[in-house]
Amino acid sequence: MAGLADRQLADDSPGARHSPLAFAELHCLSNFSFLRGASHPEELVRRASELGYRALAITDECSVAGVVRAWQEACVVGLKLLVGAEFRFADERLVILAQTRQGYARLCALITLGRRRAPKGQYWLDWQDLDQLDDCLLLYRPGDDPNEAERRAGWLLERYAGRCWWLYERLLGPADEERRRWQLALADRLRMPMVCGNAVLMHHPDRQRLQDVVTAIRHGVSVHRAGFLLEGNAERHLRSLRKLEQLYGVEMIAETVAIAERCGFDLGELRYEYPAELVPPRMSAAEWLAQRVREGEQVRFPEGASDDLRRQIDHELRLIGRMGYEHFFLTIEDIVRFARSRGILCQGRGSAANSVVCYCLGITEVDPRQATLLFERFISEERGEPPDIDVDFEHERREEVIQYIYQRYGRERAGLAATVISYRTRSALRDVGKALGLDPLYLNWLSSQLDRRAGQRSWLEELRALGGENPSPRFVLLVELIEEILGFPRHLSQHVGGFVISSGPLSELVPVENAAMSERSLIQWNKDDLEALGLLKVDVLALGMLSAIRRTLDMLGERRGKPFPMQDIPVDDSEVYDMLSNGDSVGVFQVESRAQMNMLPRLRPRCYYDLVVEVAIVRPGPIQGDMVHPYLRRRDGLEEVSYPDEAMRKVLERTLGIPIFQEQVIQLAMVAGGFSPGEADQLRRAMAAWRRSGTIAEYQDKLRAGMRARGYDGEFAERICQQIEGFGQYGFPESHAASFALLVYVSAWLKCHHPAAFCCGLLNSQPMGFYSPSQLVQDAQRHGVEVRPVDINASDWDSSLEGDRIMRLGFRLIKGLPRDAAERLMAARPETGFGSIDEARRCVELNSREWEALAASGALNGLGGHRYQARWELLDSDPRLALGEARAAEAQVVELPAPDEQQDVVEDFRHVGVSLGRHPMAMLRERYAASGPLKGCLPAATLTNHEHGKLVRVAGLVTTRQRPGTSSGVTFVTLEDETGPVNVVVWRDTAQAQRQALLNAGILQVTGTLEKEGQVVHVIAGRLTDISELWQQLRLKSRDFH
Amino acid sequence: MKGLWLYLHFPLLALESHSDVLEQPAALLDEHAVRIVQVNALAQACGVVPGMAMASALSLEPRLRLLQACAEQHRSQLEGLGLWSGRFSARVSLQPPDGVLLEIASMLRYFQGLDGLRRRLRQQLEKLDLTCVTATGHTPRAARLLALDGGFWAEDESRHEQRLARVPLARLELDERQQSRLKGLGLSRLGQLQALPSRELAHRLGAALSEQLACISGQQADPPEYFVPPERFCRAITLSHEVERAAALIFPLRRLLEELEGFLHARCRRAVTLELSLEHTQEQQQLTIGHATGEQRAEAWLELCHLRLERLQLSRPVVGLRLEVHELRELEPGREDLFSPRLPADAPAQLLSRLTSRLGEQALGRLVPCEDHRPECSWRRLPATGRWPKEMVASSGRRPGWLLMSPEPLVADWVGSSIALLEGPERIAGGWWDQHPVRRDYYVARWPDGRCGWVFRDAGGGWFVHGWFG
Repeated sequence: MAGLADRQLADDSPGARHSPLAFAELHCLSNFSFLRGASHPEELVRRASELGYRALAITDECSVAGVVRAWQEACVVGLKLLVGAEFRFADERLVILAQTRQGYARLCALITLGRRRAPKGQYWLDWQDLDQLDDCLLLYRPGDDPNEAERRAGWLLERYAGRCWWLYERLLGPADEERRRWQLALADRLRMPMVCGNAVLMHHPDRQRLQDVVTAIRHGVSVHRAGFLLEGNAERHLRSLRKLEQLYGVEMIAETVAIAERCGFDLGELRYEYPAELVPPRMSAAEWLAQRVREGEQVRFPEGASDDLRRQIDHELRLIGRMGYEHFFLTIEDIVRFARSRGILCQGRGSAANSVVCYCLGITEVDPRQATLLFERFISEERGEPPDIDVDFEHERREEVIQYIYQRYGRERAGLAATVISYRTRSALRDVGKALGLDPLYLNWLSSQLDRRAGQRSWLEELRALGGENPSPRFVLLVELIEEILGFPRHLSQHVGGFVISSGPLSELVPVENAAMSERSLIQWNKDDLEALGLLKVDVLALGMLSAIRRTLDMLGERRGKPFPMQDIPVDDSEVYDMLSNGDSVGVFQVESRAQMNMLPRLRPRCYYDLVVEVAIVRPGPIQGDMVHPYLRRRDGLEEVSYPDEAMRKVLERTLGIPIFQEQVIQLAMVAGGFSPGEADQLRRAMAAWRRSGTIAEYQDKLRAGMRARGYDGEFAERICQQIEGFGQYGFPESHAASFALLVYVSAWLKCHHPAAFCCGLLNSQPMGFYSPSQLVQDAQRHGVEVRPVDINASDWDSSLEGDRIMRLGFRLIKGLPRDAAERLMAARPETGFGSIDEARRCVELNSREWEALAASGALNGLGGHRYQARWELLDSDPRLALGEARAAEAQVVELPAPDEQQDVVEDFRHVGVSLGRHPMAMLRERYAASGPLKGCLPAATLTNHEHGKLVRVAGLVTTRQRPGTSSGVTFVTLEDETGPVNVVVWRDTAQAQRQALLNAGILQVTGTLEKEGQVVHVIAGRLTDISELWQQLRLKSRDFH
Repeated sequence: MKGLWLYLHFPLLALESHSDVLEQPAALLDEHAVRIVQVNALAQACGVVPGMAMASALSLEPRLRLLQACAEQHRSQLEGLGLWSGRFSARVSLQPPDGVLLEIASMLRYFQGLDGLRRRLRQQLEKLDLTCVTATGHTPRAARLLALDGGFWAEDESRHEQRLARVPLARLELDERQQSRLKGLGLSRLGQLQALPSRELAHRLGAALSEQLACISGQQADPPEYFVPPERFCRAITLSHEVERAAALIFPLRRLLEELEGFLHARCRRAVTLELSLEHTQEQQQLTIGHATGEQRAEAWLELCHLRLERLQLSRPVVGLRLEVHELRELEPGREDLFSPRLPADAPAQLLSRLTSRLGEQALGRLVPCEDHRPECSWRRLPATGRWPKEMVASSGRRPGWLLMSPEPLVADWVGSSIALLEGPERIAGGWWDQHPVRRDYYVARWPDGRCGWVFRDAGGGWFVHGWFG
């Protein structure tokens, strides 16, 4: 008979740190066992350390996705971390722990095996798969059936004698006592050593609520209905040592430590080697890299590199050698070389843009002589972290590059990095709300009431406010639990293009699993994990503008009879800068958005470096730091360019004393705020992670204090802090801007001198960019380009040139016409073209949908007269069938009336997306200007002739509605009439009062005040009128950017 | 198949069958609860239109009342309208989802001409409070088409034909492909289509379309399928919100009585007693309303019901109504009641219903286990009659046969001394979500006299006994 003292349990507070007892938790799941674990890996590690554990194993279910985070935290708190995984077989569990690097490789291989067999997110394993587990320890936890347990334990003992344990877990559930009795007896009889564990799902019992919620989400029920799916209590947490001793006794606890001691593997041991095959035999990687650089040097600097450049190259090569990064550079060089051999345009960006070596290797295009100020910052020896090289490829041909990588290194040696998809505001509201049993209608309503552009913090405040003064208890729970679940991982997805390539099988480094896209596989770590472990990845990204540029250059090359490489574009062409300074930038890379268009005439770029600034200045960082206006004032000579001291001059000289780039802010933190290089680097990381963690305040405080202590103006410090937050939202370093600015210049040059070819290049690379084909074509027309319609006898698949300033729209614009159909049509087309629809149908076999697409686009108008007649003819039986002949004789000729202008325009937009007829607003104006609703509406192009502050009325099709995150509550609406776009600004109050018109109108009339600053013209909306009914049929889809 | 037909189109039937949508902006959602499919006039005034996403509709009008379609209720509503129509014609055809077709050529004399019928119809429709568009036609399809196109009344065939020529082709209810083909040819009105050579048309657009045109014009017969009213009148409606005052039941009841009138009219009967049941969430309340000589008119019944309901205090909110007619005028009075000695007395079901009626429904119940870790929530009471739940899972732990209604406190000093803890603890913690959270350690304990009890210690350290083992 047991007394009270034996039966009553100790509480869960740490307290017992001094206890002589040593314990290691060997069975612990983090929230990377998606929707099972209810604590972050970091939280588990911290708590284990607080409780005085000797070691902690993170054993997520068939996964090591969370171990890197745990390991980083363990390094900080000084706790031993074991790496392992849990596997579920019906109601039995097996925990496998890696003893050594070798054992870790075996574990990863097993996880890979199970994951690769199953669809994304699942795994399929059988006991028979457990045959190669050298250097691993196995912990077996039986299910409810003693017979099954006996059989299984015997089987394990036979194979893994000395390396397997009976895992006993006392979770104070129902029938605990009975389970304890038979398990003790059975383990004893089989002579299987026993060890205890706690199947941990949370770091602290307070997480029970969230644990219940994620369980309910996993099963798709509410907690009220989840019943026995939920845990009966909160015992699956990290327990105090006193309580553990009471529950298990000293022997089993001692065994945990013995096991932990046998596991010596540390994630920090992971090193991997880049594929060696890129280096020719009998040559070192360093020699080969140096040779490649010399070759490139002769191409890049045919007149010979200056001494300065030479010194820089040698310096970089020495640094690369010291860090052992030769293979990394050679690997990227190899990929870039492949792309070039296939005529795929590519360009590196990121900090690589600062490197002459990268320029010589052809990885980047920024001539270091054009931007001498930049290349001070590349690989930093102190930081000891891998260089960041992102390479952009043409978006439509990136797949070729990816396939090359798979083919060159094999699927087992190359994999994509993962992206952890985490709970964000909306998904959290939906899932937690459902788990709390709230009505989906109500949740949708809540969701619709929240401003999606607000940050997560203010979002929570808004949500809280929706609960009213005295929120119901359930609403309080909702908000609390959402706050807790934010940032919880939900599943792994593939990174946009981060490749990891290794010399040995990748699955011995990290488990590989299937991506949603077939033929893709991804590793279980994301880019932060890789960075933390010092593993290198190659970013293979897609960029639409590169496709457009390549296509434009190909077209120009064809016209002039010899290739037109990008290098042939002359630098510093003043016409290009004139054009940009006029805000004439539709289609130009990066600077085509409305905000950029407004900035261009104010900044008036005159050289390459101005473009670098232009690209970077219209971003949250400089805007929130209020750096834009000071910079413009100094540029215009309205304010003196001055520097507080020499140190600041060095940092800020290139931007007239105003910090614009993220790099400058970090340097300022060191120069003016007294940050050490290490701290500055932490600041950089904190900015990058700000969206996720929101912890940047401590750096801001430190910066303020540091700057005050060094005598800087408090207001200036405050602005720098604001700027830091802005960069946190959207980091934009100078090195990115430098690479992008090159493409800005190239695309602007093409637009300026070859508007027809450039427009074709853009149309042929859709979807991309900011503007619809219709807007691009109208812009080309305004620049004197003659645009000809799609025609069955004249068009190619792509839009093409028919003269320097004449372009023909291509079949690709036709909705519903597949490429192979168009190809067959072109192949069968006689030199002189088809004479009739009947003839065309006899020559080419297309299905009825494809013919309909052609008729709808107006491509048959040349043969049939108009769309209606063409369709009528197409509905006749197939002329190639015998029946057709017989019918021809008796057929009665029907002539349908032709569509009117408006009907043609509607079909143009619907089926081609582009109309060459009159603009709808021109038609409306003709009909309604004299007396109707359009009376007094000014055409867009005439607005500049009116005075600032004048009351004006405009009308147009709504092409965009945008609510940028940087502007508080303002909606920007762009209207389009036959003369061009009108920019309308709608303040929050106006927007709320006239929501209906603002949200629903396809054609909008705006009465408001004209605002003019230089060449920038806005209409500040006063009254909005929805006049869509004037054109009921025209349903131009406005592109809504919320 | 020419003649004269009347088509009643109820475009908002699915929405308006919810009784409380008249005074506030309301909209009906599709089955995924994502998009709006129907709106009432008030919602329309706020800019809410069908096809709009729910979120945008709410951003236009945050007070918008959202309802979800219920196919079952909708169908039964249409049947009700079929019964109601019995007063205008013996030949009624239901046209799902929201139309009723009536043959009226033979009824014109009874109503003294078309105008008489139209007047009468308007009066009767007003009482229904449903949006309705009406149209006549010389063929069933013509009537339907004209109703869908906004309504039209005429007796003359040629006037119907003139009007039909102007009907937009979108009203033809063709599949989307056919519809877009016609549009693609620049054809928009029925007249344009009828003007084309029919052979070329059939050749290009298929025989089905030509046939449809022939049915509309009457060149081809198109007999409708007539509605056969049920033998017994029994209609139920679900209210879309809980009604707490008896007087507020009059509105939904009126529609049922109007339907009854149509039903009785078609069969030339009078009702003597009505069984009206008020459905509550758990049980129902039966009212019997009689009329000495029998009555057909809804007005009269409504008044009787009004009197009856006025006296009634609702103890619980009403969520549905059900109206049955047991006694028509021809039936003999005096049926057997429940306690008649001739009933078999030994059947358990009979015993149950007897006990229920003697002791009241509240007094009887069944216990079933339900899935919850908390002992006091691990069972629930079901009404004595009715189906058993599908699955019944009980906890796998050791549970006492006798669970106390509520735990009784123990003197803490006794635990561990005179009361010995035998087994445990089993820790139960949960229920944070419904305001009855528990956090307890349960033990099996033995009393000095040998009894075994189920005791627990709560988070505050207090000891309780919660049950006894047998």
